[in-house]
Amino acid sequence: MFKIIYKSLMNRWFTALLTVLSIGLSVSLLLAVENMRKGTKEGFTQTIASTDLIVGAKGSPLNLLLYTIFHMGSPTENISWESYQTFANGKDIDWTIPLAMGDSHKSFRVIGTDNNLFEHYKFGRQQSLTMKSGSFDLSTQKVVLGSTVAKTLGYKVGDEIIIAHGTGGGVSFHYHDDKPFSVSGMMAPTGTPLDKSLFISLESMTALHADDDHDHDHGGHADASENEHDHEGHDHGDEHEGHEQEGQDHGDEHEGHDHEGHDHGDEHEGHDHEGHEHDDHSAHEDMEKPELAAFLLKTKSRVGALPLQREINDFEDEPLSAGIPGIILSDLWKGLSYVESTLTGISVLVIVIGLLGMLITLYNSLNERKREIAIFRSIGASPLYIFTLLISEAGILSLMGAVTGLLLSNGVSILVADYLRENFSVYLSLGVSITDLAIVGLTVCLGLLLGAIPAMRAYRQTLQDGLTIKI
Amino acid sequence: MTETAIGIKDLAFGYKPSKPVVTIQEFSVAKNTHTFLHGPSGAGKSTLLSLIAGILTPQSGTIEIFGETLSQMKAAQRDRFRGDHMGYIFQQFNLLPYLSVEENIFLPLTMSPAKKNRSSSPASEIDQLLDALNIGDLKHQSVGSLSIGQQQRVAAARSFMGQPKLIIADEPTSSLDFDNRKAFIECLFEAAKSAGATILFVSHDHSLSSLFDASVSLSEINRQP
Ligand SMILES: Nc1ncnc2c1ncn2[C@@H]1O[C@H](COP(=O)(O)OP(=O)(O)O)[C@@H](O)[C@H]1O
Ligand SMILES: [Mg+2]
Repeated sequence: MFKIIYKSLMNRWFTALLTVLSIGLSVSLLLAVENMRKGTKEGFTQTIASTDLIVGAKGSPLNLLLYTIFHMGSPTENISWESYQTFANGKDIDWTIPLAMGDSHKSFRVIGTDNNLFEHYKFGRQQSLTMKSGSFDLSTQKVVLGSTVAKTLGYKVGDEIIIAHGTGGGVSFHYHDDKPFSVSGMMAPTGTPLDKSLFISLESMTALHADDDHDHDHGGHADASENEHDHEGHDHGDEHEGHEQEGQDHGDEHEGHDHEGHDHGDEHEGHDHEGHEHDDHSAHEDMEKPELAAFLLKTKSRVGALPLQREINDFEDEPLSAGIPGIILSDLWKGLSYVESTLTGISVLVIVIGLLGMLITLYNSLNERKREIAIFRSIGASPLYIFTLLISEAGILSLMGAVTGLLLSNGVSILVADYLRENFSVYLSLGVSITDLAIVGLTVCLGLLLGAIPAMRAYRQTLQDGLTIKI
Repeated sequence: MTETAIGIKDLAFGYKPSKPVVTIQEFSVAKNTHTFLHGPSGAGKSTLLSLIAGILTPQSGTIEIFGETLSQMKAAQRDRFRGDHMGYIFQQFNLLPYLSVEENIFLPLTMSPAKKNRSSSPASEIDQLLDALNIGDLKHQSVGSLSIGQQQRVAAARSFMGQPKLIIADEPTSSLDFDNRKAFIECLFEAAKSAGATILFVSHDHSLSSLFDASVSLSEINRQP
């Protein structure tokens, strides 16, 4: 029987091929959408992998995460170095990654951190950070670039860059232009917001602000007066292409400098509102530690994370809050789930349309195939045989279509997986997953269901019409 | 020849029960004879053949084939009975275009185990049939390259395959020219003789009746009540 179905299909190979292709394309669309959906979700929820807690000032952990990791929203309060030390040196702590913020470079954020970031930060499928060139060297006046920063601004290892105080969004910029940082390394793409960040050591960040005060005491005047005449006066030689980017902030800056012009003596007050306290003008060496926006921590025993979270939330010396990044990210993702279901819904409809195409083709072929059916009946085929013949054909077409779709989506996935992972942190799964098989199975079932319509019609006709072939 | 191949009694059938197409009180075909059944187009010839083949079921009356009553069988049994004991030739389009001549002739054996058992050596049986029907050279040709006359002969060969006892031919010569008709019927008889088969041959063409053992007019036996 299958030989007959095969030969019969081959006789109509062109329509069969078109049918298989149309089902294949629609199935591959659904598979691709599903794969993308899962991959995007995985990439997103695993932006911070293997971290038990993110700790920051009291407030919503979601805000904390958005600000520190995704560079979205406004800063919460900072937390003190002492509090950080308290928990960083706790007994069940595997590692901690400090995160200080507040500076930027050409609208990319500068993060003050330490080598723990490079050593312990994991993203996606437990991947570690890797360097594309140079090394993760955060010694004094060294900066490490995220891949997007490096690519967009075209920096090389050894280039010198200027870091500005403030992160935009109404905060006054202040260029630490006499303290250029030299690029020590550039990271490989992670597909996470780290790509859009620059990294300096906590000490450098502190020194930057300490030196700031010093600068303004002596050279601030010149700077400010220069600014009055020339808006771009602060743009030094090594900031080659910064003009337009910084141009929009000149107004702000002007105000900022005006302000500074009046209060040279207590310059640090101007910094106070941005969370940096420099009580001791002379102690701007390495002893001073900046406050942290947040820190990530991992416990030695996973089970310790929950009690620790409670402990941090109840910390008496300073109001802190701790959240579990995976859970926060999943919750955030759920808020977007309607986009997912819409996409999935559309792709399911596309499959139904593909199968309806098959239904139409099979239904149309029934008339031409009346003689075929009559011949089978004449040699003793039962109506059930005719039904089986036609429905098997629908089954074979949809199975071949679904498998084509599977191959197609897998082929495309293999081609684009690396690109999507590096640029969009979308983790496509290669190979055949349970979901893939379920989709293939459902497509075949749906194909059989729709194939039953023409098969049923042939079944009835063959019962009613006898052996007369009306053409 | 007294044994009956086909025996029909008090048969009534209509596609809609209110509108009978075939109403036959009595009709029989003796075993091993060649019977010619004629009637004008639309008289119900094909309908009657479908009833005899067990594809349609009568509203009333009985049809016996070789002593077995079709109306007592279940639908599936009738299908098997047809597959095992009958061969059928249509007016045209008898062959599956995607199979070769040989595969077309072989087809009934794939459907009926009984035919397959009877045919101890299908390859030599096909050769014999092709010889008898004068188409020995067509065996490996594709169906699409055959003339209508050749196609009908291949269809005849297929109907004899597996040695069924009853051959039903529904206007098999209607699309042939006169010379071909006669030659076709002679070949058919030739094959039937060696197989010992009964032939029920239907046509609207009276002129062929002289070639047969018996000739029946459907209009005479088919009386509307
Ligand atoms: N499948 C069918 N449904 C309804 N009426 C039919 C069907 N097949 C044939 N008929 C009617 O039955 C009558 C006999 O048809 P048929 O047996 O094909 O005649 P013949 O073969 O003698 O030309 C015709 O009036 C025809 O219209
Ligand atoms: Mg007819």
